[in-house]
Amino acid sequence: MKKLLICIIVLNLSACASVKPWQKGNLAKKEMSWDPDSLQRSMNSQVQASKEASRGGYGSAGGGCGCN
Amino acid sequence: MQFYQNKFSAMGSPCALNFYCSSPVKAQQIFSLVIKEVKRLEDKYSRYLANSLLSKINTSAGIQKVKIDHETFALLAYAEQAYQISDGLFDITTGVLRHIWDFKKQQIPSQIQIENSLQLVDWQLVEWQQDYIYLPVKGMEIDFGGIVKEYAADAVAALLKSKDIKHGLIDLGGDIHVLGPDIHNKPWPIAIRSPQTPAKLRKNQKNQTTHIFEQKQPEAPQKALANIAMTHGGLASSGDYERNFIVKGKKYSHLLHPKTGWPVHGLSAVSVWCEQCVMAGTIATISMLKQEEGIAWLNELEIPYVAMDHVGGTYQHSS
Amino acid sequence: MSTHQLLKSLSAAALALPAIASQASTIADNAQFGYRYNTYQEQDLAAADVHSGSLERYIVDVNQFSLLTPLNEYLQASISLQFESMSGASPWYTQTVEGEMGDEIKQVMSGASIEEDRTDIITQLTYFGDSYSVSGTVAKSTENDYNSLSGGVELSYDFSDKLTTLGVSADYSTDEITPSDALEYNRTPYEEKQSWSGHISLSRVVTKNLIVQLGYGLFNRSGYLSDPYKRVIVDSKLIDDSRPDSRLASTYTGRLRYFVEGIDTALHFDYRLYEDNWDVLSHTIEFAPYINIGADWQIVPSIRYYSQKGAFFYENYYEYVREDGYYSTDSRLSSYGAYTIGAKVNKKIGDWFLTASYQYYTSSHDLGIDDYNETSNSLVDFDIVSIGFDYIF
Repeated sequence: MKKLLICIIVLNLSACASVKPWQKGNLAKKEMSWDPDSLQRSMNSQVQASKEASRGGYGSAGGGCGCN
Repeated sequence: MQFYQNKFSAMGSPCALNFYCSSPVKAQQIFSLVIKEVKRLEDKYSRYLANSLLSKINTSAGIQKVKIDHETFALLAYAEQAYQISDGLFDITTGVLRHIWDFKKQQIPSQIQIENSLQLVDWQLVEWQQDYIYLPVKGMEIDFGGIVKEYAADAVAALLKSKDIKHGLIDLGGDIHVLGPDIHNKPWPIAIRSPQTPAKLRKNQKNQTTHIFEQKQPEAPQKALANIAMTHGGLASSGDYERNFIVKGKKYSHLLHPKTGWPVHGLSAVSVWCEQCVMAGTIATISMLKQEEGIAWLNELEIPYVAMDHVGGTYQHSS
Repeated sequence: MSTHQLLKSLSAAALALPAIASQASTIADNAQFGYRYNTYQEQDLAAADVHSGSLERYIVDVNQFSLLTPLNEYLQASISLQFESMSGASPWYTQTVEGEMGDEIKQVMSGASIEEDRTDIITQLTYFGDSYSVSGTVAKSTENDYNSLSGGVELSYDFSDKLTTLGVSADYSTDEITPSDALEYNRTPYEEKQSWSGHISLSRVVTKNLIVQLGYGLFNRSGYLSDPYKRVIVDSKLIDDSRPDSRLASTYTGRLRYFVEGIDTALHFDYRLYEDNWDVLSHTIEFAPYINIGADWQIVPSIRYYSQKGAFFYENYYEYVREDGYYSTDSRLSSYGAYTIGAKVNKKIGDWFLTASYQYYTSSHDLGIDDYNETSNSLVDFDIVSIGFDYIF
């Protein structure tokens, strides 16, 4: 299942058309960034890690905490 | 925030810096930095200044290598790409033909003169590396027309940006770089003049483009080829309206074809806009050099432009 | 070469021109200060599920501060501080109680209210080169019973096509656990834990409105991974929560940002698959449209679904002695699913950016995809209210 998902995305990547630098206006918008609000992302990932058995996945795992 | 407009003359053209700034002192500082940057590029790359690096490269043709810095190397690398994408039409060694096409005397040179001069036109003969350039034949010349003035507009925009200017427009003789919208978050309106505007009306307006907000001159009854709204990026134009002469009813433009040695005859004017002014300038120039195929080529690039041919037909594509 | 490829090479040459190259750098132009106040509140457990102790769960107040500033043309520094104060009770152990329907499993909560503070400081220095950036991070978290020190490096590299970005990061953390009231409650007085992680990602601009990212991460923890405050009844004896002393996890992520021009909206879609050698396997799917309204307003509804398969040794109550000696009734290790729904409003006023948001999280065994082990009766629901601002100097 996960291998299939990754294959499909990779296939689409190789088929993509070229995007010229002057067409990147929309991509440069703040709301198009991976994490537009880094403080909220850090709050959420900490809360989620303290409630769920999973953590990480989006870059550095960061420091631990003894959150109960 | 106050609006500041400084007009000046550089690179043989009327120029204007328009921007919003928090204090007059800072505005003055920024203006002098902008003048300094434009002058720096002019002093380095003007073919009319005997002491410029470019003149040194040209006078060393067939004699010796000339040491170059990183900026010059990057410009040569850019010129190489422009040569590649235009199948050799955009050739920075073409300038030597200007000696026989004297636009002041308004004379058509003989075919023998043209062929002799064409011996000196071939970018691929030029030897260049990271740290030097060598023109192998005496009499060969390079020039950065269609590159440096446009690059200077981009350089000024970068300078303004580094000084925290968020709303500005630099116009170097019609080569424009827009840095952010105006203070009311509105795009800058830019009118692209029709090349068919009678020369009389254009006497004091050498530029192909103008900003509509510049309302100081009395409104001329001219027709705009297009009105475009820009919030960022570069706009450049090329055309045969700048310098030309007419012999027996035929117009000879200053843009010379590197393979035939004759002035190009296809489009009358092209304006292109994209992220960098320098790219816009190169693309506009190439489309002029492509003559009848210019429009098809622009369409293929999917780049925004407006153009006019010799019978007044207009073409455009906006993305 | 096609016209497009030729144009791309021209634009690459233009971007290499010195004055333009400096413009392309992504370093922050101005210093930026951010503040958020978050109040996190867990809902009380159902009285029917609790045998003794407080029904009240945690309330946490979190103040976050961040400062980001360029030091020169190439260097950017950032520091973020987080202060938390929490109070409440937490699940202690489970036991069976005779009820109308036979034996029922009930939760015993820690008695008195626990009060704790946490301080977290993260400093980061980033260097921006022409087509790459490198950053180093040092972070320290301090609680009266838990200290963590970590360091990491991160590299981001733009390929020459200017459409593909490679991200690589690694970090290491060392934690000390010194449970409070260790003597009184016969808890372990001192333990250590080490973690390292590595992550690699590839982002690609697909169209002028679509960018996608694929990521793979490895995350290893070793040392004391149990919960010193939790107990388990096994064979009529109350013993310590006891988990394996190493845990290796992998994550596979896919993220997508798509801009819909007609409605001025950026769609966010994130998926994560997590699996580890405790047999935990989880799926996380997040979706959020960032809807711009006029030039200054933005609203962001969001939904997140999470489902996990529990750890192989988890049980809500142990009927039998395990051969491997691993025991935990921690609901976080059970099989369950959870939804988060949220809404956020952002407003820009000049150099100020104001934000307010609400999130509600609800979890239950039945929401999960996997039905691997027993249902837990101490899963929590909570909500978070956040308000704050960013200011650009």
